[in-house]
Amino acid sequence: MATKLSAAVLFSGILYLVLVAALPAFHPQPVSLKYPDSWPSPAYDFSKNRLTKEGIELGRQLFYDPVLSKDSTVSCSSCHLSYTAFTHVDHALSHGIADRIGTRNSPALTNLAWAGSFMWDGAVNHLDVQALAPISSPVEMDETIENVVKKLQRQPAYTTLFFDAFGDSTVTGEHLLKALSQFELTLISANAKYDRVMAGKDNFTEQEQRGYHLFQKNCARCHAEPFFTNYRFENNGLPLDTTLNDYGRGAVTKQPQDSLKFKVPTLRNIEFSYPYMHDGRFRNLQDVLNHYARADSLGIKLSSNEKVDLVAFLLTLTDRDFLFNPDFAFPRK
Amino acid sequence: MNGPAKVLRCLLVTCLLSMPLLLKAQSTAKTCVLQVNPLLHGKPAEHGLLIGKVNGDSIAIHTFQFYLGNFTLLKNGKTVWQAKNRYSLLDINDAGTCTITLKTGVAFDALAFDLGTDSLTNVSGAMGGDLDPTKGMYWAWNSGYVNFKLEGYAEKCPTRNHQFEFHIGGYMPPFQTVQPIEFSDLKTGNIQVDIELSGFFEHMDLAKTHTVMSPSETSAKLAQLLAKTFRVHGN
Repeated sequence: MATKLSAAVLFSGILYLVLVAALPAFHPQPVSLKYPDSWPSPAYDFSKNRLTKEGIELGRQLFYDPVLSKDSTVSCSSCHLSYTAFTHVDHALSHGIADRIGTRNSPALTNLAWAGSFMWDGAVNHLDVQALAPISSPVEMDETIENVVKKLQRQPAYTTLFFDAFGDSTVTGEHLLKALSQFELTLISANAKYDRVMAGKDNFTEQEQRGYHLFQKNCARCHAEPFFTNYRFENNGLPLDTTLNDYGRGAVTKQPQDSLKFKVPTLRNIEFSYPYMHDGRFRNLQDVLNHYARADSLGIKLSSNEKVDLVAFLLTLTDRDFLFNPDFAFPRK
Repeated sequence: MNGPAKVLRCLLVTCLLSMPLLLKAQSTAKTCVLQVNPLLHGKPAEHGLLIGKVNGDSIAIHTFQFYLGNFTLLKNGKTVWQAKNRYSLLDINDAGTCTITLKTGVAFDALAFDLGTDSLTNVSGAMGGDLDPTKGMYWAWNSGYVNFKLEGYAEKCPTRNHQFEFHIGGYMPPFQTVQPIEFSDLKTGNIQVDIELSGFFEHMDLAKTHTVMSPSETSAKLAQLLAKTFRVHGN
């Protein structure tokens, strides 16, 4: 009897172990965002979307996967390339599937955890829901979130990744969007020469130092440190392009005082994020400074030497660790 | 009898013995069952359509989807139970969605809820369940939930195929569209709520107002109109 009982216990034990081993394990590894101590706390509420290694990895796969677009030709990275500060270099107006041209220049994706609104007009109020806009835009991905979810559900590789990240192999819009956010939240640029100088680990050249003073005097009100944007909407004096008739923030709030206001873009990695402005109308920084010198824009008069100094400072915002970070690049297997 | 069979039998007996306990727990729970009935002149949808005449104009409604949420139960004017941030998406083309069961365990005499989503829900990023953006009730290009969709045909509409299309939402002042609704003096937990849509269409001119797809003064007014059509009956 005793032998039979112990055999039964042993059998049950083995059965239990086999069953437990057969069940997929859900043990996501928590990740905390790394940024300089001197920076403020992020605006993003991580309590609703905890960063994990698996969530970030899923987001990265999705970011680089053209499955998000209707004809599987365009991914997020088509307009937000890691090596060019996550923007669409060389295109004044970004293009989507079937060479359809949009109405705006794709913004650089940097330090998004501190941003309170998204898009040039701030029409998107949270990073999680930002991706819905390009996915559904007819001139970008021309797809629906419903259909993306269906396509992903058919791919076993993805259902595994969704399980690993969220403990559920059923793909949902919520998890898809939260995974994209997780990857995007890691895109932190905080190691440019500027940052090293601020941390006391490097020094500006005399020219860069002169440029920094000019910057603080003339530009920092909108392009506030350390993010080089105040995340607000401003009218910087650009005349309306009547081929686009883009009134920016005004079209969102329907308030006349917001007409022709656009989100102040970050200047981090500006060396790589050309062309400039919401419609990419300026091909280089000289054109930008010439625009700001005009009396009917901001009237910032600088001598040609001062312009060179200012550009020398702006180049210290280039962060090669960010631009060439292998964790941000196409996920090669 | 061998060992494993004995273990199984033990488990089975334990389960059977605990059954009455489980059943008892269920039968004593105080539950609120909300049955929502979208109607046009007292008639429910047939084959997915609400059909009737309003102000002499024939109308047919083929889409009516709306959010109800933030359910709160009250007793003598005091909140006794609340399901904060829980929302249900109701759809005339999916009858099952029109019955909402709240397992509350408390006695109550009033029910309050929101028609539409509150502002916090609109700024909290990606949500799941009935609030998942795959439900087609989220505006991609100007963040926020569509609190209700009401679409159909009316002779009067000067639009293509005489269609009217209302996608009503908006959480930012001055065009907030969420509407608080409260029913008091409830005698039972089985609550029948009628939404008599003739009351919505009687107060508007479909010849002029037929396409509202973004937050505006009109959308705020239409949200108020819809909220006024909610009535409890037989309670």
